[in-house]
Amino acid sequence: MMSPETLAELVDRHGPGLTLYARQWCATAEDVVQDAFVKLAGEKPVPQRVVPWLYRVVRNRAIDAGRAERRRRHYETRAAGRSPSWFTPGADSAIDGQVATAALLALPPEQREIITLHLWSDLTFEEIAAVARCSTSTAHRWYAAGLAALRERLNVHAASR
Amino acid sequence: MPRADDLEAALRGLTPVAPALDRDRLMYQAGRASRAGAGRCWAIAVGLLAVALAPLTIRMSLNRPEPRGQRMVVRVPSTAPQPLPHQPMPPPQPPLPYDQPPYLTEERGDHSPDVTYFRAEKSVLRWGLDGLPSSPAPPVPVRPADPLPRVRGRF
Repeated sequence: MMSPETLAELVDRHGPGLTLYARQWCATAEDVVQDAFVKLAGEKPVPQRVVPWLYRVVRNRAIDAGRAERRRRHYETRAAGRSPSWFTPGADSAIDGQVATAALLALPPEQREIITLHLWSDLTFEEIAAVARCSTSTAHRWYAAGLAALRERLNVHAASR
Repeated sequence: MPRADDLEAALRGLTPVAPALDRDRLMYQAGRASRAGAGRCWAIAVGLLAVALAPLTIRMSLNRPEPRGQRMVVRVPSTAPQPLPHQPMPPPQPPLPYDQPPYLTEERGDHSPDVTYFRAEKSVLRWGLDGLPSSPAPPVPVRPADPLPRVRGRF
């Protein structure tokens, strides 16, 4: 059984990355992440690799939540235009958070997922492959393709400014 | 605009929006979930036992066996006397004289009425009516006691 201190540390450390990861599929990312932590607290025994396990649970639940949302409304068609920024405004970065969010949403889902996991959740490509259920080489390939697409898209935005 | 290598670093520099997680609610629900798991184990165990015992209970109540006597074989060694070869019965012997104490034997010549009665009683108790004498015993003559010699005048 997981101690409350360990659980709190996991929430503080991986909560933002998990929420960002869940936002790719659904608008209720916080609820999905919270359910994942509650599920982790009830797990006996505790999963050996807790972080990939958490991302796996968040992924499945976010996909289910996104499907439910799409049934209620055409979420995906309007998501890019109305989605709030995934990143804190005014952060010390050369890229605007809102622009980066739009560029990420324009990526194919598998590329966006792997870029998100690698850049903001600090998962290795082996862990990403376990979470996304693909091979490590596929994860590498999708990451490179997604990064190239982002570069192209951000250059377009940069030229339009 | 950053280059390809710098693009990765620039993207890493973006900070994800802090999730609006209700930390206290999350920890409370996590605690409930951890305890609910233990209770569920007991509930599952009790449920499985009840399900397993229910058909057995119904079967036992419906097919209650009648009490039956238990058949036992007891081997007892035979004590019946073995048939002896047929032999002619010996002629009846006269009753043997019973053991008499020496002071009652006739050799002593004691024929007092008490002794005679005692002998007859013992004979009947031992031999039955066959022990009675065929004829009543002759009366014992009572001899008068000798008079004491008169010695008074001699002194």
